[in-house]
Amino acid sequence: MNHERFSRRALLKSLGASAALVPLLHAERAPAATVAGFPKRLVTVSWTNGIVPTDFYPTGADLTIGQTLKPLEAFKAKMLMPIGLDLKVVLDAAGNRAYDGHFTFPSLLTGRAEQKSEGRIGQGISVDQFIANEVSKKVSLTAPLLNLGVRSQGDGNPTSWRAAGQMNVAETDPYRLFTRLFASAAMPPGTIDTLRLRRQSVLDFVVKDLTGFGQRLGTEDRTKIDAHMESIRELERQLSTTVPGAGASCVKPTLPPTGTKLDVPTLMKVMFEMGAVALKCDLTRVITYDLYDDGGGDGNNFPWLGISSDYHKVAHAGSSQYAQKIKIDQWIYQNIAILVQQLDATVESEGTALDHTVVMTCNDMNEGADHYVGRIPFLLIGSCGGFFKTGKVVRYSKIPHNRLLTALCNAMDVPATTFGAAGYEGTLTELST
Amino acid sequence: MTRSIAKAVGGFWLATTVACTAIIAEPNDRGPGAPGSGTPGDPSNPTNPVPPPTGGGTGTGVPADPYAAGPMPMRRLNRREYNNTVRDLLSVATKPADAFPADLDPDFIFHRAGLVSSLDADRLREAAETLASAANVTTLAPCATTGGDPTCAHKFVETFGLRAYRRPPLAAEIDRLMALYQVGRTTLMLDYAGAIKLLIEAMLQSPAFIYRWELGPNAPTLEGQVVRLGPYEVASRLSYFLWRSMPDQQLFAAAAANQLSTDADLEQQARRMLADTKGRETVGSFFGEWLSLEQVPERPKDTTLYPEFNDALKAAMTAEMQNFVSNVVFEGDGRLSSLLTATYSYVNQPLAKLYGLTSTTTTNLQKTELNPAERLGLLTQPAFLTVTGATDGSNPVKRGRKVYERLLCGTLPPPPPNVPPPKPPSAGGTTRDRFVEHDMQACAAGCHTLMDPIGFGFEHYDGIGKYRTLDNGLPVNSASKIQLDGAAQNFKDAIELSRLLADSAEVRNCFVRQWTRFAFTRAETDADQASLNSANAKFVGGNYSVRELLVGVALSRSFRYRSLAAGEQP
Repeated sequence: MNHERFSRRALLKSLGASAALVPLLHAERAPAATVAGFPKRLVTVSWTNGIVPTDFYPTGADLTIGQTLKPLEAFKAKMLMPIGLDLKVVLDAAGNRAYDGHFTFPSLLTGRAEQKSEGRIGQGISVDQFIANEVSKKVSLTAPLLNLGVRSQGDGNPTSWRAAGQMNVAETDPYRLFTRLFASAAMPPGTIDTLRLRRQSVLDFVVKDLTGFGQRLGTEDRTKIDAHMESIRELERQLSTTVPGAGASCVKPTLPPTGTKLDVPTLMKVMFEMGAVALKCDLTRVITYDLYDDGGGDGNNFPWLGISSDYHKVAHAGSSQYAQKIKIDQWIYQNIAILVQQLDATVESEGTALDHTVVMTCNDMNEGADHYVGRIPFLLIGSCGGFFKTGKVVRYSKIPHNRLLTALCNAMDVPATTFGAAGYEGTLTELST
Repeated sequence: MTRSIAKAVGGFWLATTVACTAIIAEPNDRGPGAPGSGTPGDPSNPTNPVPPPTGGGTGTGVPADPYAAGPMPMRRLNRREYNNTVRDLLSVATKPADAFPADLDPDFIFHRAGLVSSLDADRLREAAETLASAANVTTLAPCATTGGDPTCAHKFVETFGLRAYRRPPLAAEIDRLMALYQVGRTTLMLDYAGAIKLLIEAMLQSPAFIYRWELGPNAPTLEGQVVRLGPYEVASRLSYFLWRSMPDQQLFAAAAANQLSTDADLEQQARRMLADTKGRETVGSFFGEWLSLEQVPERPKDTTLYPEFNDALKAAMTAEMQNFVSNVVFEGDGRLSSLLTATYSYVNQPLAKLYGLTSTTTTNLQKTELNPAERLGLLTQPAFLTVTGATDGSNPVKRGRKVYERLLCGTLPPPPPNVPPPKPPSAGGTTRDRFVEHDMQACAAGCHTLMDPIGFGFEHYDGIGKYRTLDNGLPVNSASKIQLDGAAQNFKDAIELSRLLADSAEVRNCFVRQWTRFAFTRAETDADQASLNSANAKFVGGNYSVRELLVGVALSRSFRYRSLAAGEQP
C-alpha cells in the first residue's frame, strides 16, 4: 500500500460502508493525509464576547477542566491549550485597538489587521481558505472549504476571507447544506449529468457576460466584477467535483422535515452533526464555523438556558454575570463536543477521525468585560495526525497568534514559516514537541 | 423579510473603551467629512444651502458647484430590490432573495448589497433556476410557429432582455444569449420552451440584471466634467429610488422616447410613481431602514418581563409604524414635523393593551387618538422604543444614539481608552442613576455626552415601549437637554423632545441628507452639495412635505448626472 496516498479501503472499512460508497470517494489521494493514508482535517470554531478566564484557563501545569470546558472533559488527553497568544497584529495596529474585541474576526484567521479603530475588513486570505486551496491542488473535494454558521451574518464580519476585502459568507441553512453535500449522490446519474451540463453552460455564459460587462466600468467597480467572477469560478469547481451516482453514502444526518423553522439549539446541533459527517465522508477537509459573530451578538439571548438578557450585555457585565457567561460558553462547547464525539467514534486505522483532525476553538477577545484582544482563548482538540502533542497546557507571553496559524498550516502538511502580516514570522514548536 | 439580524451592537451595558467601541459599531451615517459641529442655516429661505450637520455629512464648507455631480458606483440589487424586480419582471409573488445572505454593509445605514461571495453566487443561481423553471413561456415568449423558430427566441432576447437589463441589450449580449439558446436546443436537447427557460436562468445571473449599471449600448455622454445619464439610466434611477424595483412599461416607453430629460418630465413621472402602491411601500421601507424599525421582530426580549411580546404584538408594532407613516405622508399634510408630533396612531388589540387603552379590541389597526401626555409621533411609538430598548429595560444610550446619528446626522468620535462599566441593577438606583455615574468617567467626554442626555428623555418607556412612572422602584426622571441648532435646549420628556426635534432646522437638514443617501445608495460628497441644496429648496418650498422632498431629490443634479469613475474609459 502506498502510504502517501489515501486508502479508500481503509476509510470504507472504518465507516462500515459497502462498495456502493466507492463512487462518493475520490480515487486518488495525496497529502494532507496521515501516514496510514487518512485525510487530515482542520475545523475552526469562533464566537464572540470572550470567556471567563478564571474558569477557562488552568492555573497550573495540568490541563484542568473548568465548568466552561466540562462537555469536553472526556477528551482531555486529546486537547492542547496554548495560553498567552495575543492578536498582536491588532494590538500593534494603528487606531488604539487594544480593546477592539468586536472587530477582530477579520484578523483571527488572516493574521492581518486593518490599520484603524473598528477595522472590519479582512486584509488578506485567511488560513482556512489558504489550507483549503493548497489541499485542493492535490485532492478534488466536494467542498474544499465549508463555511458554516447558525445565524445570518449581521453583527460583524466573518473570520474567513477568500482574499483581502472578499469575505466568505457562512451557510446557515441546514437544508441547503444537506443538498450541497448529499443531493448529487442521491440523484440518478443521468439526471445529474444533465444538470451539470446545463449549469456549466449557464456559467460559461455568465463568465463571458461578466468579462464584457467589466470592460465598461471604472476601477473600483471592476473589482466587484472580479470578486463575482471568482465566486462563479468557485461554482464551476464545485460542478466539476460533484461526484455523481453514489447510491448509498456515508450515514447522512437526519434533518427535521423541510419547512420547519429550527430553533437555535436544534440548528446548532444539526450544523455540528452535518460538519462531522462531511469530514468523516471526506466531502471536505476544512470547516470554519462562525457562531455568534464579531460585534457582540447583541440581539441574541439564550432563553433555553434561562438567560433572557442580551448576550453582549451579559459579557459586558463582567464578574457580576460570570455564571451566565460560563453557562453560555458551556452550551457552545456542548455543541462542539457533538462534532468531536462523532469524529472520535469513527475508527480510522490506528486511531480515530478525531486523531487526524484538529479542531481549534477561538474567540474575538479575551473577556467580555473589557474586550481585550490579547490572551485569546485558543484551544486545540485532536492532534492532526500526531502533529500536535496533546494533553497539556503551553504557556506563552505576548506571542503573536500568527505563529499558531503557521502551525496549523504545518499540521495540515502545508509548508509555511509565516502566516499573515510581515513581521510576525515563526511557528509554535512547543505545541508539536 | 428584512435584514435578518440586527446589526446593532451597543449593548446597554457600556463598559469600557470597548463598550464605547461597540456602541460606535452600529452602522452610521458617517459621511466623508470630519466630525465637527456646524452652524445651522435658516431653512425658511429656500435658497439657503443645507448646512453641514453636527458631524459627518460633507461638512467641509466647500461651496456648492451647480455643475458638479456625485459618483454613481455600480450597485448590486439588494434583497428587497431583487424580490421586487423579479415580481415585476416575471409576475411572481415569491420572494427568493429572502434566502440570500443579509445585505451587510456596516458603513451604511440603508440596505446595500456587498460583493458576490460564493454563497451569494450559489443563492443567485438557485433563485434563477427556480424562477426560470416556473416562468410562463407562453406569456413571456409567445411563438406562433411550432418547433421553436430562432426568430422567436431572438425577439424574446430583445424584449425580455430590455426589461431584465433595464436597457436595450448590447449586440454582443444578444449574440451570447442566442449562442446559449443554440446550446440549449442542441447540446441540452431542450424544446423551445425549455431553451427559453434556460435563457431566463442565464439572464437572471447576468451582471446586467444583478447590477444597477444601465449604461446601454452608447458610451457615456460627457457634459463638461460630468456624465449625463441616458434615458434608461434615469428611468432606473427613478424606479429604484421610488419603487426599489425595475421601471414599468410607462417608464420604459418614456426612456425609449427620450422623455426623461426635462424637469417637467421627471416631476411628472416622480409624482405618478409616488402615487403608486409601490411608492408607498418604498416610503415605508425608508422609515424601516432609517430608524431600524424593521428590526422589531428580531429583537430578543426577556419574556418573563414582557410576556406579551409575541408575534402578534411584533407584527402590530411594525404595521402601526407603516400605517402611520403612510397616512401622514400620503393622506395627511406629509410634513416631517407631523411624523414627529402626531397625536394619533394606528392601534389594534395587542397594541391597545400596551398603550393602556381599553377602547380598541379588534385585530385590525384603527386610527386612534393617544394620551398626549404619554405619546407624540414616531419616536414614542413602540416600534422605535422596542428596537432601541434593551432586552429587559430602557436603553438611554441606544435611544440617544439613534436620535443623534439618524435624526441629527451626528458622527460619534472614536472612543477613549478604558472606562469601567456602569453598575449592574443590583447596585440599586434607576437606569439613569447608574448611567450618569458611568458618564462621569472618561468615556463621557468622548461619546456619551452626545448620546445619553438625549436618551434619558425616553426613560418613561420600558424595553417594549410601555409607559412607566417608576424604574427599579424609583420615580422616573426624563428631564434632560439636547444640543440642537447650535443651542442647548431643555426638555422634560420625550414629548417635549419630539416637539423640539420637529421644529429643528438641523433635523430637517439631516432628513434631506438621509433621503439623498437612500436615493443614491451612498453617502453624500462635496460634489452633491448643489443637489442637496436644490432638494432642500423643494422641501422648504413644499412646506416640508416628504413627498415634495422626494420630488426634489429626483430633480437634483446628482440624480441625472454623475462624475466619471476613476479608471473608466469614456
